[in-house]
Amino acid sequence: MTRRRPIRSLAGPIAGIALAFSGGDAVAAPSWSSPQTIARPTCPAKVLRGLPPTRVVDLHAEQNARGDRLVAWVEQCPRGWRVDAGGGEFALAANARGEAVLAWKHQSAEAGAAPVVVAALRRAGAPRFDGEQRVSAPLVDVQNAFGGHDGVHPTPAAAVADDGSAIVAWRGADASAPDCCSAIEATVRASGEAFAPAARVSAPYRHNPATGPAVAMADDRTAYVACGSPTSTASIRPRAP
Amino acid sequence: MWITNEYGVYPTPGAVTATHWEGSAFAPPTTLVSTTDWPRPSSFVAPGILLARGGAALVQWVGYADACSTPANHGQRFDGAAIPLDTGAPVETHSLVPVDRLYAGYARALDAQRQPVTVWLDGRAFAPDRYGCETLPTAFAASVDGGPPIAGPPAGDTRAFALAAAPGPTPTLVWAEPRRIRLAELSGS
Repeated sequence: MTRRRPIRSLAGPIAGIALAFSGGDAVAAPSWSSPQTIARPTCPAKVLRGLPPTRVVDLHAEQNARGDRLVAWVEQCPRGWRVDAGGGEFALAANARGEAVLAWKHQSAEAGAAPVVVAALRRAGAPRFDGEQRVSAPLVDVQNAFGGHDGVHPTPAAAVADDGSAIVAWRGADASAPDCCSAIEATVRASGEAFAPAARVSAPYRHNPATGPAVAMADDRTAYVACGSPTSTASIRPRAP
Repeated sequence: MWITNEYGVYPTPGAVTATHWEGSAFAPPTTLVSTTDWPRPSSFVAPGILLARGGAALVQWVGYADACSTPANHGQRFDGAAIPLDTGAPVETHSLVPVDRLYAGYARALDAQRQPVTVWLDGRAFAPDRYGCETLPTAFAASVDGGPPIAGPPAGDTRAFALAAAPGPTPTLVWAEPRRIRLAELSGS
């Protein structure tokens, strides 16, 4: 059993995402600087001897134009002999001012519950993320190409424009038929507003490919979504209101 | 706007393609590499795209193959191709890392001058059992705009790392060791 710590800056029993902020200085020396420790995992120090160590299963870093950095990671704390190396992945995106979007799959502790995609926002210079918002319907595990169910839900993708407009996209379920199909869904937000209701932005995929979407957000607030499939390219150009 | 996609038969993406937004629709995708090319990785994963100065699209991907063979020996490779904005015709695919080493991971970004920065984890072969082989990380290294390798800090027991660069002034590597999160800057790029 592996216990995932609650998120420190956000409410909810999701995989623990820890955050660190550091100020940067422009240095001209043409080499690597000496490594510095900026944080330590937050798992309890007292663990039973012989258990596997704390594992950081995903880590992302962004920095703004001044060099202020935002680092986020997911820890898995040892509690038993088994450590689940999968899961816990998330998306982090920031703009030049340091506004950031965090998006992750929230797995409820309720037995049999499907994960949902949750997003949160950080204002420039703010010490924490807030505005946590569920943006997706439950992610349904559709059939893979071999007729089975692997329970894999690709990591969502996120991007944020310089004015704070943002997009989050994920692979959701197309409810047009039972046990079929998956499709890419996305939601956008205008600066200062909440994320809009999700919209399907791709044709349905008969099966459940392992890859998620890629997103980008241009300075004119145009959001882009791309996704792979065996046969076609799908895209959308939603515009934040 | 350039976008990469993986194409192929699930679950093995068989090609890397790129397309760009032409105002009202995406252009027909251009295939940059496929599993029919030689040397042929079994699949392509982790595609990425960076927009360099002048708008050229720098498309990068990992050719998945035997992790315990060097790229020169048809092992796992980290390659890229540039697509000039004016012609849209991709230039020749090239390796983004030295081809005589084993690797345990890669990251890429543009620096503040919009030069491509590649960071990788040098690795050593490790056989957890008689059938498998994987690479364990030994040290970080980097290359700026295809230049010579810049030896970086030793890597502890880590697989999670990230490279933060533009719009910040200095590319910054962040990585996780079992009991600490560490950071190092690549200045002078």
